[in-house]
Amino acid sequence: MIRHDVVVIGGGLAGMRAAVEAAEGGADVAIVSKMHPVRSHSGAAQGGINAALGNREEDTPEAHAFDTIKGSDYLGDQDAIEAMCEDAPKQIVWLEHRGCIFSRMPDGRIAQRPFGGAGSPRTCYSADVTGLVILHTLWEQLERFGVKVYEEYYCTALAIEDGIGSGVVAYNMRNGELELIVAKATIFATGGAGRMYLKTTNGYASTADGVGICYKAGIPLMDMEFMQFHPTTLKENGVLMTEGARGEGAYLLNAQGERFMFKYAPSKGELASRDVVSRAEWTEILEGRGVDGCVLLDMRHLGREKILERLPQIRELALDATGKDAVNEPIPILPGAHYTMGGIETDKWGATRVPGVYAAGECACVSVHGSNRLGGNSLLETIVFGSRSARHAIDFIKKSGDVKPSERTLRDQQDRINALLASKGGTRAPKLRHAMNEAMSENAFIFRDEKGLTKAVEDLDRVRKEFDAGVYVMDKSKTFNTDLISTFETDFLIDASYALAKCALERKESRGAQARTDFPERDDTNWLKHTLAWRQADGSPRLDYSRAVTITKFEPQVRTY
Amino acid sequence: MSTTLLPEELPLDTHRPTRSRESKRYGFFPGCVAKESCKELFNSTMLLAERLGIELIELTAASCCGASVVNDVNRDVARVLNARTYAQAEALGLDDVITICSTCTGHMRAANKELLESEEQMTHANSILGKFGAKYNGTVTVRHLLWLLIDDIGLDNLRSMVVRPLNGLKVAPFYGCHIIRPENVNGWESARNPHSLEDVIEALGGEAIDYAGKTRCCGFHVQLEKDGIAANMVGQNMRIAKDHGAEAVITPCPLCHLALDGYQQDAAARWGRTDLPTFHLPQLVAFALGVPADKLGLNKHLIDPRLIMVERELIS
Amino acid sequence: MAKIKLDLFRFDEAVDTIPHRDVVEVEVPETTTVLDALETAKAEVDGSISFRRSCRSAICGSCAMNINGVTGLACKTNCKDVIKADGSIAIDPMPNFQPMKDMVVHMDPFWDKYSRLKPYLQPADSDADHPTERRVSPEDMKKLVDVANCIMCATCYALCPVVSVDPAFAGPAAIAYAYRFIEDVRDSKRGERIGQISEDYLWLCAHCYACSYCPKHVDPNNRIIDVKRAAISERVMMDERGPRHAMVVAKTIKQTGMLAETEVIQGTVGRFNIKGLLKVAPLGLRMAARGKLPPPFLKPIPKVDEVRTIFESLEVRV
Repeated sequence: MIRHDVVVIGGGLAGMRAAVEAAEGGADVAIVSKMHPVRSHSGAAQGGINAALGNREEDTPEAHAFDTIKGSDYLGDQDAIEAMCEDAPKQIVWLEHRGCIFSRMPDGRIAQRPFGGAGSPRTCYSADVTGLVILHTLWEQLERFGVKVYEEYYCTALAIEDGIGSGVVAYNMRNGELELIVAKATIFATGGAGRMYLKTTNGYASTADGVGICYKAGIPLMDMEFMQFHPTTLKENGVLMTEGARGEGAYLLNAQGERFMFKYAPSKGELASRDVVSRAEWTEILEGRGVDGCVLLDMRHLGREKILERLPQIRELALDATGKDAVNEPIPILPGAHYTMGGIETDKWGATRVPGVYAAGECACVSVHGSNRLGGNSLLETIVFGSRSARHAIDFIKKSGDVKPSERTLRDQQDRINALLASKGGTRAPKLRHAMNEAMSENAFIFRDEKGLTKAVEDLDRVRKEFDAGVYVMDKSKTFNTDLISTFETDFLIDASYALAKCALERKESRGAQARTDFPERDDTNWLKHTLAWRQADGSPRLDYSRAVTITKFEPQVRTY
Repeated sequence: MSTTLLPEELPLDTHRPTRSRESKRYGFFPGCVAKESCKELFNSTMLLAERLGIELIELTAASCCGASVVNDVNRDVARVLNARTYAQAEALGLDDVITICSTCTGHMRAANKELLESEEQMTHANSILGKFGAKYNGTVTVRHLLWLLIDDIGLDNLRSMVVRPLNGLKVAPFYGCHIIRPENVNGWESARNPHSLEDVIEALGGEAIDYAGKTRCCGFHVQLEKDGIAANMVGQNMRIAKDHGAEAVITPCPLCHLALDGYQQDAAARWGRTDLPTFHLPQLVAFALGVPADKLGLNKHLIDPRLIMVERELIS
Repeated sequence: MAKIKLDLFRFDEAVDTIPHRDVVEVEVPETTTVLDALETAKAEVDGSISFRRSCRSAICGSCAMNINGVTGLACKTNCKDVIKADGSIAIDPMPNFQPMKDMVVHMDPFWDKYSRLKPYLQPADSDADHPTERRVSPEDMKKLVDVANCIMCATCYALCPVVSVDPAFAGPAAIAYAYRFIEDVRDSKRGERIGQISEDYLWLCAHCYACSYCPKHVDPNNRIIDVKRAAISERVMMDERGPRHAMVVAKTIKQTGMLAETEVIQGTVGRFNIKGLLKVAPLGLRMAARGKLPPPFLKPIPKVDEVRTIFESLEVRV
């Protein structure tokens, strides 16, 4: 048995920011991560992090908050959004003070670029590797404070005793041993769930781990139906081409060479909010104005020098995957699954309904993004809520007593793993995952309807039951058993997919990233509310609309770009 | 193997045609070691040139290329020293400078790349050359003799000139880092899997040994840095070569030659005996083309190549 | 679609003493990466094939492995570029690391090299003195951009021939990261950092440029030279072999226009370092016996004063 005051699950931006905050606050904190922290998918974030620094143009946190609220299609909780936008400038400065390598303006201040849905250029960046540089800065701070990292430990379950979070069970990937990590506060920072879909910008690790764990432990998920499809991803492999390209002036063209976005967003064009752009692209493609199922991202007019300076990574990614050099040719792209607005339900401090259990970053739903997230706000969310949840946790543990070690959770997990390793035949997880991916990609993509979503729910229910009937793990080794880990990940993805499809089916309106062809309008009268999903014994979600949207300053209005 | 080279990274002069190719009159920079401890390399090269029917015009006033080491002291010196060398070549009406050392190749090409790609660097270099009335106009291409053999002479032609085929002598190529890396300085062939030396070996009637150590480092530059470091770098490569059946080694770099020739004895304690004689590229080519063996300085090597040559009935 | 034979290294440290190989055939689209092929093999044929991977877009650094004898990122290597004539691709764990399970290796020594650097910013003044960001010019920040792209995949470390014979060597990645702080104008520990990395055998780098295969164009090879230059300009550990060697080579070039081998050896070891000279003596004697000893004194090249002019114009202190 291992004991810490605070345990953070996940070593990406949110997880490391939380751990550093806790360590500096004097807490005994440890990170449990299924990979070395610098491998976290946060590093793949390219374009930038938002803050109303006002370096390039006059700006205020209030303007940032408004853009975010409008971007969320008015489903975001405005108090949380205001808190995030208020905190943003301080957090950027915190990062810079610790050495973060931001791109600079001629006068030495942090540079900011325009991004989708933003009234003023407020996206701070480092060429097109912003996530990577922040990841490094935070990892450096882990080194500075000597924060303990349980590296390549896979968290399989949350322990709750007497209604209070008491830590987690984690599987040591290097030797196959299971550990009970007892902690007074547990912060989940496990990232997104893009791997619900066939094609996604997300890496292999974005498998809804924390979401699945909390869901199984009885904590509700919120707003799962809202999946962001990033407008510019490569057809070959789903890899992301940052919004920053459009921020630097790149065009989106259809087969006729038109900058079609101005038909859909007369004011903002290519820099409209992501859901608007993705829908526009998909419409162009479906209506026959695409090129091989794609539209074109054209950066040629930016010039070689600017591309090599501001967008070198995506230029190389496109070159490797397509053979096309963005300096000379437009790059074919299409929308791909990118970010989960939904996740573990929390309040504006990152606290869930279970005392001692928190969530921060993409795995959480505060909600600051509502039904659609603005580019640059996800990196911001990780830093703000990483630090806020840690601060709240430190206060909490000062007042809370000792927690009860959950031997029974440890035993349950050991039984589960033993059973999986003893499995002798049957369907393997990759096959079930593929069935889930197909259901999602076909019927829970950009344009949805009753028929499609109903089928998706049926398909996913079948996958859920087949998985629960007994899945076959081929690798029996105690050493680095990625077959076993993949199986756990598939389990969590099935739950997340099922919740997404069901929530989407029941929400009879279009809002933000949810576009129902059978309910094409936004319906504030009936649907200005969050969706909560609670896991039932058979794996299906029970939906609950008891949580209202918090509105402070900005009454919902018509949303156009 | 996919290269990590981006399209703009290939140096401008890698495949540039030169007047020397037509005229068969080339500028020649032998480097320092070929004039000091490896005179046999210089001599074999001149004899080879005769056989090939080309004229190598030595740039006698040229300085050391910088040998990679001066970059540790100052970032500009090597560039300007080499600009001076190129200016001398131009002054002699030559646009091709041939080297016989991998280290010279890599570092002279790096200097040329900087001068050709940056007007600022060229102007800066010329501002110093101007103090003694010299100027570099960017027309020189630096190549190793190995590339000349393949591009200008041609393998088929070379094969037809062979009068003493190597009788299947098993020769392991040892490229020497700086003739292949970095790719954005050389780029004449793949750095991960070059095969020019193998092609030459086969053209001369030998059997080329492919082995993992062929593109690795001999440790020459750090031999004095820590006890045993060069012996280990040499040993680990020669062990693999020997295990793959090599009977001899060929290298286009005299520094590698010195390391391989000199350190196998010390390496034996950890890596086992290897005793592989190391031919300079021009030595072996000259031999195959009929230059008398006693003119090639084979007696200067610490590991005597004549033993295996007798065994293979190449000499008596 | 293409049929590919993956010739895989198999090993489980918990149960095996020696590795074995498995050849697994998969059918994949022609444009597939080595990583995709491995994933297909794992999903369709043998679930126990083990390797690290995450982002599949060359940013997480997980999937460095030895592909047909050369280390690189599996996600950035296209099968069609590496497939051999017999339709196979050999896949092994990257060298210079102890294998754990198939292509998964023990990475701790690599991370340890970073920890030794104290790899975090140590500014001279307090953050509280700066209500907003510390100002850094774009030119100063640009110096750090190359190293900022390092994804810590360890390809350079795996390829380094010096690491393979001497694991005490810090390795290209750590030295490049030291550079990141040495050149960060906000950091106040430049001297200490140069000292630390010099002690971690900075000067063992043989300039072989194996690390130029860095998949992210970090160019650790050039960063290492930058650090060496910084060490010399700050006069750190000037009595050690590395700096002595660089200085005496520069000196002989300035004086004679050539690298004078004999003087370089003496100058590097130390003219009065009897113990050191005795160590190099045996090789010297063997060379002398063959008449291969370099001449003790060199005549300067013609127009050597031009060389001196160059050195003086550039203010090179030797």
